[in-house]
Amino acid sequence: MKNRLKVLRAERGWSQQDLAERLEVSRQSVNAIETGKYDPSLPLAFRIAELFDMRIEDIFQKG
Amino acid sequence: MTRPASSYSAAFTPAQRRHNRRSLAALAVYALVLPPIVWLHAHANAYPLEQPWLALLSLIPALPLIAIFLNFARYLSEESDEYIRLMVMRQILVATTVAMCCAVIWGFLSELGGMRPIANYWIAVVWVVTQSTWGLVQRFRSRGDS
Repeated sequence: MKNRLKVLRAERGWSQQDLAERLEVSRQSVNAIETGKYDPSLPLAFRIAELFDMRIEDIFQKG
Repeated sequence: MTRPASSYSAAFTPAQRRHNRRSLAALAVYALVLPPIVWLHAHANAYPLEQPWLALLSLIPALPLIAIFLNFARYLSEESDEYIRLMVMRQILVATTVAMCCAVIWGFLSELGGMRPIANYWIAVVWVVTQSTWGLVQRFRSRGDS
């Protein structure tokens, strides 16, 4: 699955650590999601979408 | 459950920090109880012990090590970071595979291959070393991606 997390994060000027703290996960988690090594669970995907005020499908696309 | 954002600012998650504290406490207990029991065993002639006291005494150092393994189950139930939990699950899977393979291989080598039998607790040592090593490998890989 592809995602726009890195771009969305960069647009807001957040580091991986900043995003991790906002999502209440580890920096490793953010890094793994951004690099496509890990697809988040639906609850975490919802949290990410809420944080960026977007729909899940606008952030994550079938790759 | 809401946690303060700073809980995730360190290299370890809050659940990992609790797990590390409990593991270190168990290791400290192990380090405290092992020497006197080994000493008693070495001086068995001066201080002979009958069963079941001998068996019970020999099990005392096993208890903190058992606590370390039970601690993993507790940690997995406490870890709220799903990715980190997955990584630890992989570490446990790799460590179990390696430890069981070593146990089977050495079992056949000692039974049929003429090799010297070794104490069963070495299986636990192999498990812990493999689990820790794989954890370090995962951390190193994760750093390389950022």
